[in-house]
Amino acid sequence: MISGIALLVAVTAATFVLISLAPGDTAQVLAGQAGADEEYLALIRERLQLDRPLPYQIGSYLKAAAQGDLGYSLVQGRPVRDAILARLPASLLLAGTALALAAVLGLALGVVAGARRGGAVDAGISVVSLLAYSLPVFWLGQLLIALFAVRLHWLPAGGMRSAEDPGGVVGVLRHLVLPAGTLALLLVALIVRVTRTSMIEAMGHEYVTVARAKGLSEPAVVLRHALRNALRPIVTVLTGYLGLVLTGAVLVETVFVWPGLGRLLYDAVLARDTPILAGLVLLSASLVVTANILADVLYRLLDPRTRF
Amino acid sequence: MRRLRLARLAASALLLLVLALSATSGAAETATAQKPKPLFGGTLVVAAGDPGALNPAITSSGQAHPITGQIFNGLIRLDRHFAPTPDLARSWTVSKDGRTYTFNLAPNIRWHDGRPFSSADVKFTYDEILLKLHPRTRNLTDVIERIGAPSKNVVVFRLKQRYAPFLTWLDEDNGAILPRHLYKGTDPLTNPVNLRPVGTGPFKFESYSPGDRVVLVRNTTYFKAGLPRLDRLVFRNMQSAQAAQAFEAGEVDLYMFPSGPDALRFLNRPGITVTERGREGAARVVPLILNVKRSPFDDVRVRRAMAYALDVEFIARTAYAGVLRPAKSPLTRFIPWAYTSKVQQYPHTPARANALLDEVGLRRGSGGVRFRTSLIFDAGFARQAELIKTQLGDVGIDVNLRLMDMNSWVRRLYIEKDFDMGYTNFTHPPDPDVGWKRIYVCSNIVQAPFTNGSGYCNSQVDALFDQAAKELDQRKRGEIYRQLQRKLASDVPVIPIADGIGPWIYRNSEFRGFGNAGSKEQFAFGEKVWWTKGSTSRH
Repeated sequence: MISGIALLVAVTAATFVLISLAPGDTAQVLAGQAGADEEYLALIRERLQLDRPLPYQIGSYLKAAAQGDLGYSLVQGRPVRDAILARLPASLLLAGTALALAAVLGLALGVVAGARRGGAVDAGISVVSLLAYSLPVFWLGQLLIALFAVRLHWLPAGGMRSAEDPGGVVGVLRHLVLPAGTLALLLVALIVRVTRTSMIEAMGHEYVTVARAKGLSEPAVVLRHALRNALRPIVTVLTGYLGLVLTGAVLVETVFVWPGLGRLLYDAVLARDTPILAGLVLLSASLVVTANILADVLYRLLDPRTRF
Repeated sequence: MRRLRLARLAASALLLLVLALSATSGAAETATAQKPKPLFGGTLVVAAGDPGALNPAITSSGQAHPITGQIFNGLIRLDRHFAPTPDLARSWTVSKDGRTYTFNLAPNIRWHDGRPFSSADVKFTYDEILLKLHPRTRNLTDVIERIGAPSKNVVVFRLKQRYAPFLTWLDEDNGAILPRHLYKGTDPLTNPVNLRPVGTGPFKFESYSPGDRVVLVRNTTYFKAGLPRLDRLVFRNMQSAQAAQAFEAGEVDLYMFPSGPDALRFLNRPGITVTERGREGAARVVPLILNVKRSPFDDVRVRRAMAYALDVEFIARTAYAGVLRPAKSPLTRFIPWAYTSKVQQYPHTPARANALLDEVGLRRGSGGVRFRTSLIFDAGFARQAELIKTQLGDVGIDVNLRLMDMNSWVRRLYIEKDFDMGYTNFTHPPDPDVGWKRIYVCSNIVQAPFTNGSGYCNSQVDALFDQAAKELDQRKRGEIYRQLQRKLASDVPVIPIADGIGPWIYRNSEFRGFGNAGSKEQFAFGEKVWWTKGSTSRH
């Protein structure tokens, strides 16, 4: 817990340092091509405390953040907390769907590949998942849009709701298919590879031989004995991606114009929007810390040996 | 190579032709007596950027104004040649000394929340917001002495001195009027009203989902009778490749800022208009900026030699896909009353460039190199930079290309002044005094973005700019600016590369009435555009 908080503080401080090293600042971005005078830039910098020394900026930010105040974004025109909360549901929906899809598909394929190591099915699954993992998202995404939206008109080209639709469930689901599918594809590939390796290792253990010797059917051996033991590294991978998928789906969200946190991050970087960036990094780091705690809890449920 | 060049030439000639045709056919459409009668109803879907705060008086953002421009009004609007036309003000007079402007406001205007609009709103917005917080309009504090509101429908601006371009500042872009009753006593930068704006314009704010969309609905009590005709405007947050795909898929009706390749992609498609008409306010000249405080750029002969070495025709045709034309003057051709192409031209003649450089004493050394230099730019200028490197290389100038992000080159060029050559897209409208002077005058050699980056300083040039700003007779002003173009074309502190706007794209099979809302139509199209499948009357 304490190390978690120390991590959050360190990450926040590092964010401020990195942003201050990058050229340009919010004041210049706000001024745009207007050729604003130095007085205007000074005025905005003062408002954002950009004229204060960096340690002071970090200190006052952390102090406020501890009290739940993440600051105000002049670019977004609202408090950082509101800006993030407004984007959170979309990100949760996308990340949740993609993770669930990926977990089910990845586990299934990984188990099959691992249990039939060396066979044609294993080779097929491995090659396909390697390919899926290697495809650049922006390229794949554009191709999918060109095919399913522009040519076939089966699915919308982007966004979360169509122009006329006030946001019905079916409408949102139709918009969800391509981005969630694309994001899931990347994750599936990862999960397949981890599951396969982990299964191969588990299948080599003596308890598998024992289970077979007892006369258990092959599915029972694989699912009840080998898979349960193989799950640990898979849980580590899955929980590890929780935070990443929530705030880090930048490419997928950008390609499919999904109104989530990833695009907020992208826009914030371009606009040098320090308060939003710091808020997102803080959120992301908190999620990683939480996910690690969650992983520990899951280990205990899965593996009686780690229970006290 | 030759064939490729020809093919490109043909493609770009085609584009120019179609742009020209679409511009003229638009004009013809408005002129014919049998033009179709506007219908009512419908939703126009626009691909736009995420606007952030919807307060037009504190930002010059190109993402916010396409939306706020439908919600708010300025005192005036600028027509396609930047002459003022009525908006909130239905008429105005200028005193003999040129220092007092009196505006008569249209009667019976109401804010979207039902409260009456009055001259107090105008005075308040200027005094408390525009002159303090609008990044551009702040500059008017040097011009405006005081603002009076002698009666409900009259506003008077008293200026410190005569200032010819004054009226061009008063449109929604630079002078949107906000409701005093919602902003008085608040911090305009963080007032929550910025996210649910209340204006006087043709459309009322309905909702804003960040990263997703802004929805506006028809103002049923708009002060311009019979307008607007559409029921709703939906601004979906999508840009570049995403917007192009959505437009192609039929999910978007108006694509505001397409890239050159996208403009070409939609050319000659039935039911789609690709046109520059209505975007004159965004006319720009892109110069290669030379640091004249550094050798050898401090020698005008070197700068002229470089101008001869560059093939701007080829750069415009290829790198700009014909969307921008080769620049024939330092000033954009879209300010016709001031523009002239009768200035020193530098046709592509490497032989003259070589002769000039020899004359200066910059002789070719090992590998044929006369001198080494560098060019800083971002991805938006990458293809242009490659061509410039090749063309200058042909006359023995070895250019090191330094690709960086925009914030980086802005800092190097304008703040640190640590560069040899750079570039900038300079928007010149609505007036040479506003968008053009800043590139050349001594007083604008400051550490702020988009100022006089070359460091060129000439007292004669400054005096002419000052004289033009005070001259109220447009014909005489035009003559001064033509003189300035001749002088600047001869001195070449920057080498103008391309001049143009870049088109916007809409579905004319479903939407008509574009081309009637002045030079910044992307901020005002909602007022007059109508749907071809609408009904003949309001219910």
